[in-house]
Amino acid sequence: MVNRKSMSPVLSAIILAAAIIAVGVIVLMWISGHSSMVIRQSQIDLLRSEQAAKENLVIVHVTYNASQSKVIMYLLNMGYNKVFLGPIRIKELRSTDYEDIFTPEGIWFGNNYTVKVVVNSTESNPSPLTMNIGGLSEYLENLEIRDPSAITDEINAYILEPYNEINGYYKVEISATLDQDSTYSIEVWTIVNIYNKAYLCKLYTAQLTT
Amino acid sequence: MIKKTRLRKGLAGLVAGLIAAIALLVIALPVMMQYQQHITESYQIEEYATMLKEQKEIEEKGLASCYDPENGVISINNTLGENITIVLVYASDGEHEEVKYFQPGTLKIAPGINRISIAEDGLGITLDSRKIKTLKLVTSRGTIIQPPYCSKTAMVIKWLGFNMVLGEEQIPGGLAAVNPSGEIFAHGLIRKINNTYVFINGTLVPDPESTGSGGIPLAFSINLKIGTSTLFTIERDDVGDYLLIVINSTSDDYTYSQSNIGCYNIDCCTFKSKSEVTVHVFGYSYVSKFDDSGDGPLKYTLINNGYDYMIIGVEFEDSKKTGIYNGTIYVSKIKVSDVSESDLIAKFFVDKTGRTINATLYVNGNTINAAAFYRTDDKNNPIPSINQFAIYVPVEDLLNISSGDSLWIKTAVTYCSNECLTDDSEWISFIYNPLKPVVDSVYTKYFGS
Repeated sequence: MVNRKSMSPVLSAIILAAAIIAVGVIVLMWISGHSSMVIRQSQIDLLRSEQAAKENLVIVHVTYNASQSKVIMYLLNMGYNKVFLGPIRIKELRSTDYEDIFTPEGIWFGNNYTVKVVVNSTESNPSPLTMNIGGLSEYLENLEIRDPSAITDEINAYILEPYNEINGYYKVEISATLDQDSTYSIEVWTIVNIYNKAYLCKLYTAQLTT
Repeated sequence: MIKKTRLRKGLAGLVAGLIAAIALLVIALPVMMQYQQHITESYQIEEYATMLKEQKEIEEKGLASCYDPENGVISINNTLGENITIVLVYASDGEHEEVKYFQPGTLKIAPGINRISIAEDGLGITLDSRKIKTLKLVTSRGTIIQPPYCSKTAMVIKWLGFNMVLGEEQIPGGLAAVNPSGEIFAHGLIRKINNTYVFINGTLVPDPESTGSGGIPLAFSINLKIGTSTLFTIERDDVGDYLLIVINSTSDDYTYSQSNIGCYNIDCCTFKSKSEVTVHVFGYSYVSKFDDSGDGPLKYTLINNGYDYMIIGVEFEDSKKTGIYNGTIYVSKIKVSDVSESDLIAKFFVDKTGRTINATLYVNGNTINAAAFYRTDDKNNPIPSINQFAIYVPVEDLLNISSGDSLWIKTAVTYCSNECLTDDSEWISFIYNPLKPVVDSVYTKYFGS
């Protein structure tokens, strides 16, 4: 006959509580790991939405200078915060190798566009900012890039200050050869910097008839 | 003893469970709160974005504009009731382009019509104003105003509501002229504005002091000609026609004075030209007469649109010079089987024996003294000779209707002398087309502001 000594109820309660908490914490850590991913993405979306809602970039006019083979676009930042100007697409230009995507200093595909600040009829050339991209899949999807290795993990963007801070406007020059008597749709993407990564923020569109 | 031990174990288990639940809750709570915060912020962002979009839409709708390339002038009608700031102007002639930036606050568009020169003394654009193909103005909210050519704006004037129109599109150069032997005569609820041009518009009422062919009391008369050929003559003697006319004249060429004959509870005026004048625009709307001739005192129901009102009335059959005419006008947005359920009821009486008249509107439980118009051919003793009587009905204010809405109208007249005889019309469907948009468009074309 085995003589078992019963365990103290307090001790058993502590052991039970510890066991439940241990299991609970493990479950919660799993949930919270998953949640933190969701929350992080949600925070990115939230910050992006906030920036997109506040952003008020105006494409005043787009014109084509045939003699210089340049698309010229006039922009005004009518919002209260600076705007990062990212990739620009002229969709109809794509044939084989992403000829339609233009980036500052041609960091992707070598297709270049420049931005000039015009204050009191005087133009100056600001330098673009280099940022690491976040949300690679967004870039691939929105710019219709099927090969992830086609782009680098860095992107350049021009900073556009609010109009009343620079007291002027921006002139964007895109080097491109367009056909006469044709209509082109132009997509202008802005970028938002979240946790030191560049995410696509807002799409502006315009039409150009040559 | 065993029971006591089990009880302690049970209690211990319960306490352990509670501690664990509280601990888990404490860990999970911040996650839940963060979710809640995200949802709230998302709604706030969405609301903010919607508000900005709505502000732009309101601004777009509230700023009507056009560009006159001959004079290099942009006309902007700001109906927003507040100053709008322009920060950038873009102009292009197809080959060259100019962009002008304005410090916030330096170029404001005040409420009303603004005329801005694009040249050095205005926007500072140096391109030839006649060659400008694209013109854009950007407001501080980011709205882009792109004025079309003013001539194109004039061409899209819809003469809705008028059934006779002569404008510069019909007579290039605006050269319809009045025969020197005749004159322009107009009497009624008309208003005159003069500048380089004289602009007259309003509802017409016959004036027994001025008679036309056959001694009819004139509401309106004109002889129109181009060169030496007379186009036509109009003489009208009905209550409720509407006139819009723009002439090139000086104050020596015409008289304009108050004359209230034929008008009850409202001031009327008479316009007379003394010599030949050039007519640039002539729009005329004849009052509609819905026949109810036969037995009974009602001959016609009279209906016409006004500037932002309607004229509704009756013409008496075999008008007597004594007795009392009592009239009722029913106006309803839907056709009702019981006339007392009409949205608006107007009552009037013409006491030819007692020589008094009265007109009252009943709407939404309110009683309103109405303005009215009548036709008489006796200037000295007008009331016994009244044979048309119409009421001014401000339908937009009273019935909350707008252009294009249908109304059902019915009239009834009772004539009492020795005995009373009542006669009523069928329900008449009438589409309300106020003449305000046309009048305002023509006014803007010739006066700008």
